[in-house]
Amino acid sequence: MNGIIAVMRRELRSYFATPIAYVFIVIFLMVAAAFTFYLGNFYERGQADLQPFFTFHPWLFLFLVPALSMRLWAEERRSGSIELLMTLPIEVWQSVVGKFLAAWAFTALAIVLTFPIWITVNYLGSPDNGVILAAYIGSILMAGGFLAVGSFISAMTKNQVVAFIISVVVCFLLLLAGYSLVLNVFSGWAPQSVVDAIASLSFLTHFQSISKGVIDLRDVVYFALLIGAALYANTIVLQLKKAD
Amino acid sequence: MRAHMNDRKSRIGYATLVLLALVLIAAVMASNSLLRGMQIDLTENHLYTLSAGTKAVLEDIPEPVNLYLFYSNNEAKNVPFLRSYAGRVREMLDELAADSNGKLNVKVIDPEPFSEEEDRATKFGLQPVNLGTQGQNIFFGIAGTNSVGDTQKIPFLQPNKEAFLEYDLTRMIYSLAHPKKPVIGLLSGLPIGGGFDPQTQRSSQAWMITQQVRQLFDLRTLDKNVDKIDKDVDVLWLVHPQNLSKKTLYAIDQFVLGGGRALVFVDPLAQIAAPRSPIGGLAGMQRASSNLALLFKAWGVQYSPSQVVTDTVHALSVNAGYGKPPVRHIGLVGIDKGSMDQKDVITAGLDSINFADAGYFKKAPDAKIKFTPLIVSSKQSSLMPSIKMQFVSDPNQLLNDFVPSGKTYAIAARLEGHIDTAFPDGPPAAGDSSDADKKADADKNADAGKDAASAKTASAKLVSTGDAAAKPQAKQAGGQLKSTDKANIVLVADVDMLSDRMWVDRQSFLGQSVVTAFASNGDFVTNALDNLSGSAELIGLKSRATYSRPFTTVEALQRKADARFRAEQQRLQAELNDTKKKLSDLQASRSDKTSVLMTPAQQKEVQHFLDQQVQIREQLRKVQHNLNEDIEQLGTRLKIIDIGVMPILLTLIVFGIVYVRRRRPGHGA
Repeated sequence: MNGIIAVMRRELRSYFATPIAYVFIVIFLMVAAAFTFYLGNFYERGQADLQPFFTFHPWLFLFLVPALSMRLWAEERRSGSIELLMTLPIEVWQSVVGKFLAAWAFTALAIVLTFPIWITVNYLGSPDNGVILAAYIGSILMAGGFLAVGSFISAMTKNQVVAFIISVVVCFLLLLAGYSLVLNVFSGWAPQSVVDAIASLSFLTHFQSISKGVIDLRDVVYFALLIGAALYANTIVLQLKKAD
Repeated sequence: MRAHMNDRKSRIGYATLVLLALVLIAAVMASNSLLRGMQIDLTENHLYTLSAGTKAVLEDIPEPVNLYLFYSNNEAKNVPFLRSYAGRVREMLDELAADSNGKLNVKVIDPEPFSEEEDRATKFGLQPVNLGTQGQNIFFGIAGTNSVGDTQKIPFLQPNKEAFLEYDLTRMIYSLAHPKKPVIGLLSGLPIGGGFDPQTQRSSQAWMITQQVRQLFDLRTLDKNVDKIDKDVDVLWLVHPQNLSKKTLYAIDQFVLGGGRALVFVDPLAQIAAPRSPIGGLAGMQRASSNLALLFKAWGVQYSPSQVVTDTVHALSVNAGYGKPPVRHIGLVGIDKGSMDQKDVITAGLDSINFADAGYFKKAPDAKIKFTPLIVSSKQSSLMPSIKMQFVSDPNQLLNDFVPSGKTYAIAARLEGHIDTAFPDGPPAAGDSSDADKKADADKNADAGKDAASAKTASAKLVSTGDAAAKPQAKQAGGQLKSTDKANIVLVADVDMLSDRMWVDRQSFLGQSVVTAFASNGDFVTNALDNLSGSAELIGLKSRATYSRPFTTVEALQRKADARFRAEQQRLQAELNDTKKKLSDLQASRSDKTSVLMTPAQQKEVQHFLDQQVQIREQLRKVQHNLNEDIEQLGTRLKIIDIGVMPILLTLIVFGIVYVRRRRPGHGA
C-alpha cells in the first residue's frame, strides 16, 4: 500500500513540476465549455440540464486522455528510467496502480474543475442535480477506463507518439463497441451472443446509462473490470519487457 | 538458451493477454445478467425506481393480468439503441411482476417473420417499424390481457418516452386489473369524443383527452337533451354546455343533489369553437361561450361568460410570424405548480397546465358552499372582455391595454358541501324546453329576493346517518331532491385546455405517430375524474417525469424587459399619435383657405412634423430591437466567464496551491 502511495505521490508531483498539467487543465476546461456553449447550443436551447456538456466528454477524453497516458510508461522505457523503478523494493503491479491512480486523480481534478458550468445551469434554472452528479461520476469512471487502456498500450511501446495513436484507435473502438461501425465486423460471422458480448464492452452505452441519473451496479462493475483487466495486462507486459 | 527461454516467456505472456481479454468479456456478460436490480437512483423524482403508487396498484390486482412483450430480438441485431432500451423494458417488467404477488404474468416473445407469434402481435394491434439494414419488421410493443378478455396495448415502445414507461405500464395494468371502471357520463357541446358532426358535415377523431379517459374509465356519451341521468353514472363530465334545455338542467340538478359528482368545463371564449373572423356576427361569438347560469346560481358560484382572465406572469409565447421574435400572449397562460393547490389531491404534484382565454369563478357572497380554488392566476392579471380577445391579430396590443388588478382569479375550483336545488318551484313542466340559461340570466337580477325566500323554505336538512359510501340523504319533496350537504363538484373555466394543441405534441418517429404530452392537462382531467369517482389509486400514479426545465432566470429577464420596453413603446406611440394628429389638424385647417399653396411657415411646420414622425418611428424600432438585448447580453457574459475566465482562474489557483505547497519546508522542489 505504501508503495502505491509513494509512486502516486511522485507521479503527481512530476505532473505539476512542468507546465504540462496546467496546459492540460486549461485546455480541457476551455474546450469542454466551448463545446457546451457553441456545439451544444447550451444557452439557446433554454433547458436547465447539462446534456450538451456531458455529450462531449467521451470525445474530449478520446483525445486528451491518451495524451496523458502516453507518457506513463513509454517515456520511462525509452529513457531507461524504468530500470530504476524496477530496482525499487516495490512490486511491478504496485507501481502500475500507483501511476494509474495518479493519472486518474489528476483527470478527476480536471473534470471537477468544470464546476462553474454546474453553477451556471443552477443560476439559469432548476436542473435535476442528482442526474448531474451521476453524470459526473460516470464521466470520472469513463476517464479511468480510457486511462487504464492508454496506460496498458503505453507500456507496449517505447515511442510516445505510437502509444498515443494506438490508444486513440483502441479507445475509439471501445467507445463505439455497441454501434454498427464495430459490430458489423462481427455480425456477419459471429453468433449473436458474441456480438452482444462485444456490444456490452462499449464505453458509450455504460456512460449514457449512468448519465440518465441511475448508478447501476453493473455499470460500475463494468468499469471496475475493465480498469482491473487493463492494469493487470499492463503489469504482465512490463514484466515481459523487463527482460529486454 | 536464454533467447529460447525469453521466447517462451513472451508467448506465454501474450497468450495470457488474450485469455485476459476473453475473461473480461465473460465477466462483463456475467455481471450484466446476474447483477440485476441493484442501483442507486439519483434523479430528483426517482424516475427510475418504482413509485409507491405503482406498488399500490400491483398489490391490488384481484385477478391475474398478463403482459406480453413482443420484441424482435433477432431482427433488431443492428439497432443498438433499441436493444439497450429493450433490456431495460424487460427489467422493468420483471420488477413489476416481482412486486405483484404472482398476479402479474410477464412473457417475452420474439415474433419471427411469418410466424404465429407475428400474427398474434398484429392482432393485438402492435405496430412494427421497418429498421435495420434489410428493412426488417421489428416489433417492440406490449399487449396486456386479463381474465375477462379485455386487451390493452402499447403499440410501440418509444425510447424517447422512457421516463414515462412506468406510468404507462402501471396505467395499463390498473385498467386490466379493474375491468369494472367508473362510469363517466359525457355531456359535451363539442365533439371531443370524435364522430360525425352534422353541423360541419365532418367526422373527427376523438381528442387525446377523451382517448386517455376511455382507457381508464367507462365513458358514456349522453345526449345533449337528456332529461334524466342514469343512476349508474358515477361522474358527470360536462363540457361547454350551451343553451341546455330546462329538462336537462333539471336532470343535472337532481343528479348532483342525489350524490352524483360532476366535472364541469365552461368557457367565456372557447377558441376551439370560435369563428375565425368577425363575419358571422353575434351568433358565431355565442357559439364560443358557454355557461351554466341557472345551476351556478343555485350552487353559489359567480362566473362571467364574457370575461377572460389575462395574466402577464403566466403568459405563453406564440409565434408572431416569419422573422419576428415570439411574442407573449396574455390570454394564453401556462399555470405552474406554484399557482396550483398543493393540498388538493387533484392538483398536487401536477407540473403545469395550459389554458387559452380562460374565465374565472368566484364564490357568491351569501353562498353556503365551500369554495376551494384549485388553479389561480397570478396577481399580475386582469379581466378583459372576450370580444377583445377573440380577434386579436397582434398579442402585443393586449399588453398595451393591460392593467394588473392585483387580484388573483380562480380558473378552476372545487365545490363541496351544501347546495340547494335550482328548481325550487318544482321540475320544469313537460314540454318546457325553453332556453333555461338565457332566461336565468334575464331573471337573475329581478328574482334575487324571490330566490332567497324559496331557498329558506326548502332548506331544512337531513343529516346523513349512513356510511360515507352510500349516496347522501337529501331533503325530498315529492320525488324531487331539494338540497344536499355532500356535493362535490370541480369547475374549470376553460374548454380549450382539453384540446390537443394545448397539451400534446404529435410527431412522427420511425414512421409512427408519437404523442407526447408537454403539459399536465390530461393528468388533471384523469385525476379529477378519478378523485370524483371515489378511487384514489390512479392519483398516486402521476407521471413523475418533468416535461421541461426552462431557464427561469432568462424568462424573468424576458418579462422585465417586456414590461420596461412596453412602457417606453407606449410613450413613443403616444407621441407619434400626437404628431399625426397635429399634422392632420394642420392640413385640415389649411383646406379651409381657398388657396392651394401653403405659406413657407406652414410648409416648415409640416416638414417639422414629418421629421418628428420619422424620428419616433426609428426610436420605436430600436425599442423593439432592444427587447432581446438583455438576454443576449446575459448569454455572452456567461460564455465569457465559463469559457475564458473560469478555466484560467482555476488553473492559476491550482498553480498557486502547488507553488505554495512546494515552498513549505520538507517538500523540496
